[in-house]
Amino acid sequence: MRQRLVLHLRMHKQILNQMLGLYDEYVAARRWEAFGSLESAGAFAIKSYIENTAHELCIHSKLRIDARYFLLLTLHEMIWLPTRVSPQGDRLNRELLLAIKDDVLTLLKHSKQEADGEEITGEQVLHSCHKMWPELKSVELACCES
Amino acid sequence: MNPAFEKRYLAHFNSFERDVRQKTGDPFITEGAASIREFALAETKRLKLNDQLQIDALYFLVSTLYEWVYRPAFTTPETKSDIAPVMQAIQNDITFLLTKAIEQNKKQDIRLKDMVQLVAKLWDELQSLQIPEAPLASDNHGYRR
Repeated sequence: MRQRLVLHLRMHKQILNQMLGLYDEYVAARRWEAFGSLESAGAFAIKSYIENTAHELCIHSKLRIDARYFLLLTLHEMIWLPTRVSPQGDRLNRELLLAIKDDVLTLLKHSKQEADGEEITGEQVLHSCHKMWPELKSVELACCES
Repeated sequence: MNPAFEKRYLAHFNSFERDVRQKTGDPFITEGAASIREFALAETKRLKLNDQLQIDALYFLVSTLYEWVYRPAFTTPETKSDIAPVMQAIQNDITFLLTKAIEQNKKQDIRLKDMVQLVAKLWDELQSLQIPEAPLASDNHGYRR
């Protein structure tokens, strides 16, 4: 039964292509929300960090869309949204974004090393989140460990 | 967990369905998102995990399965027309992960880092996560940036 289900699901490679659209739309869809500029700024910044870091590390062609989308979702939904402060707290928000930027580098460096020249997938990025968790600055700022 | 952050995670979790409706404008995908959230809550209650499972861990589970698995599957014509197996896989994984979380954490709190660790450890056994991990078609590289 499980094998049949997995085979059924594996037929749909187009899902990866849909992720490309969702990844691009993720920032745009947040433009008009409550706390609009702040929320949108967070999503925009995180996406930029992912793209720029991928270039810096020369993994732009190796970093699959499921990995990019997973990283954006995790850092935006799990760190930025619950942790960001009101629009008045600009300094703290900037500090949080800088921590997220460092974490993107930490995670993608680890993923690159582990992938050893192969494609970097969502699974690889999740494993890097697990392995590098104690070193993630934004997690520390989010007080998840307190 | 810091009570202030717990409150914020809770606020996000509680407004999950409304946020999806606002972002997508699609009543059907909103219904799917609500089903995932409600199923996770029901399983948490059934497995008597209410006190043990922290809101950040629950939010990670629901948010990731919706955003990373259900939503891409729902917007893909081939899977949208037969979305039931996808939802079934998601529900199976929620039950499986929560059951394993009890075994792994015994009576201790289950937090975000524990859930990340658990998903990483059990990845190959999680049916729904195989969807975006499907092998690539040689003639289909459109997803590359």
